[in-house]
Amino acid sequence: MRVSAATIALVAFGLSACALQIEEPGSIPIPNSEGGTADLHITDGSGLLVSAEGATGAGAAENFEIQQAPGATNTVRVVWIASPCEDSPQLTIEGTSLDDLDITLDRGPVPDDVVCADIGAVHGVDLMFEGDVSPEHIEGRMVGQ
Amino acid sequence: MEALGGLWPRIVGDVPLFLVAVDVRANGLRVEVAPENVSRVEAALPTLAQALDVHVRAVAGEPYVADVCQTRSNCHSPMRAGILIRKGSKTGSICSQGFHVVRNGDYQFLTAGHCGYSGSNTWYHTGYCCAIGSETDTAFQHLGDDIMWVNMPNTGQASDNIYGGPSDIIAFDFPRDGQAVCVSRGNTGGLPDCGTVTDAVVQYVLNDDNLPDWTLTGARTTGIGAGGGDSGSPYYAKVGTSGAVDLGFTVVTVAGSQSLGGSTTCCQVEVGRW
Repeated sequence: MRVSAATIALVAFGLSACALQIEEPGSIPIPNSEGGTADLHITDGSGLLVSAEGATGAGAAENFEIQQAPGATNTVRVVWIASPCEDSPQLTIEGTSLDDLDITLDRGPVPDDVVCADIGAVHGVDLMFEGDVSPEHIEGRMVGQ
Repeated sequence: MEALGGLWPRIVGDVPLFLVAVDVRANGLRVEVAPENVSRVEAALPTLAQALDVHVRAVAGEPYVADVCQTRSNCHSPMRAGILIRKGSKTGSICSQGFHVVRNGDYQFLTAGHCGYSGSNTWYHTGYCCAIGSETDTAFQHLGDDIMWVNMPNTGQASDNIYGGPSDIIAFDFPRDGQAVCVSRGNTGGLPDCGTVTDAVVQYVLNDDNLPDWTLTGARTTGIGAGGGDSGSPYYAKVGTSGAVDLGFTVVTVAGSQSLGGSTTCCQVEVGRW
C-alpha cells in the first residue's frame, strides 16, 4: 500500500503559541522548570514516517503510542494509525518542562460525503528535544475521528 | 500412553512429540510429529511398539497451541473474524480479517480488496508467530467488488467464530434493504456496532489518491461507523442468541456514520463450519 505523506501541523503551547509545518524544520521554545526555555526541534527529512513497503521506524503501534526513538535519548517518536482520509493531523505539545509534557494528536476531520478506504496506515513523527526526554514523562492522547 | 512418554527420548531421540492419542481403529496408539520427522519416527516404531507391546502409528501433525484470544491483535488458535491483520509484516498497515471460508477446497479468509492493492501479498497477525496467509484472488477491479481472498495455510486457524460477536456463523446470505446488521469492527472502538442496510446494492468510487478510480459494488448501511484499519471487518445478522449469518464486510466509511460493505453477492462462498 502506497500512502502519500500527509502534512502535519505541529503546535506547541508554552509561553506563547507557535506553529510550523513539518516541511519547514525549525524550533519552538518550550518553558523548562528553571524558567528558561528548551528548544523543541523537528527532525528533518524523516520527520513523517508512513508504513509502507520498506518504510522504517514506525513500530507496531495499534492506534496511538509515544515511543523512545531508537538510540536517541532526546527524541520521542509519536506513532498513530490513520485512514487515507485523515490527511491533516495536528500535534499539540504543552508543558512546563521536559519532565512534564502533554502531547495531543488530533487526526483531523474526515471530509463529509467522501467514500474513505478504511485501511489503517501507520504514521509517525520524531520529535527531538534539546535535552533528554522520556515517554514515561509524557501524557499522550489522540482525538478526532 | 504414560509409558510412551518415558520411552520416547530413549528410543526416538529429540524429536518433538506433539500428540499421543488412542487409535481405536488400529487398536493402538497414534503419535503426531512434525511432517519432516515422520520418517525418522517410523524407523523407530518397531522398537517402540515392541517395548510398549502395542501397535504405534506416526502421522504428521501440528504443535498444540492453546486458544489465545485476549485482544483483536492477539487472537488465534483459532482465529476469529474481526481480528486485526497487518500487511507485509507485524508492523505494517492494518486491515481487519473477514469471514473464513472454504473455496475450491482451500481454507481462506476474506478481507477488503483495496487492502491488497499494491505492495506485499503476505499478511500477519501481531500475536501470531508467522505469516497467516497470502492473497490468492481478488475481485477488486473496475466494476468489481472490494473483496479479496487470502489463503490460510495453517487450516487449524480457521473458525466460524466472530470476535466479540455470536459464537457461530451458520450460513451466508446477501444483504437486503432494511435488514438489521452488525459488525465486528477490527480497529476502531467507541462507534455503533449495529445498524441497518439502506441499499443492498450500490455503486461507489473510493476517495483515495493511491487507488484507481474504479467503480465498485457493495451494500450501504447506516448507523455503523468505521475508521482506519476497519476495512474487512465482518458484517453479520444475528440469528437467535448465538448464531449469525455472514452478510459480507465493511470496507469504507461514508461521512462517518455510514459504511459500505463488500457483500458476498459477487461470489458465493462456502461458509466454514468448524
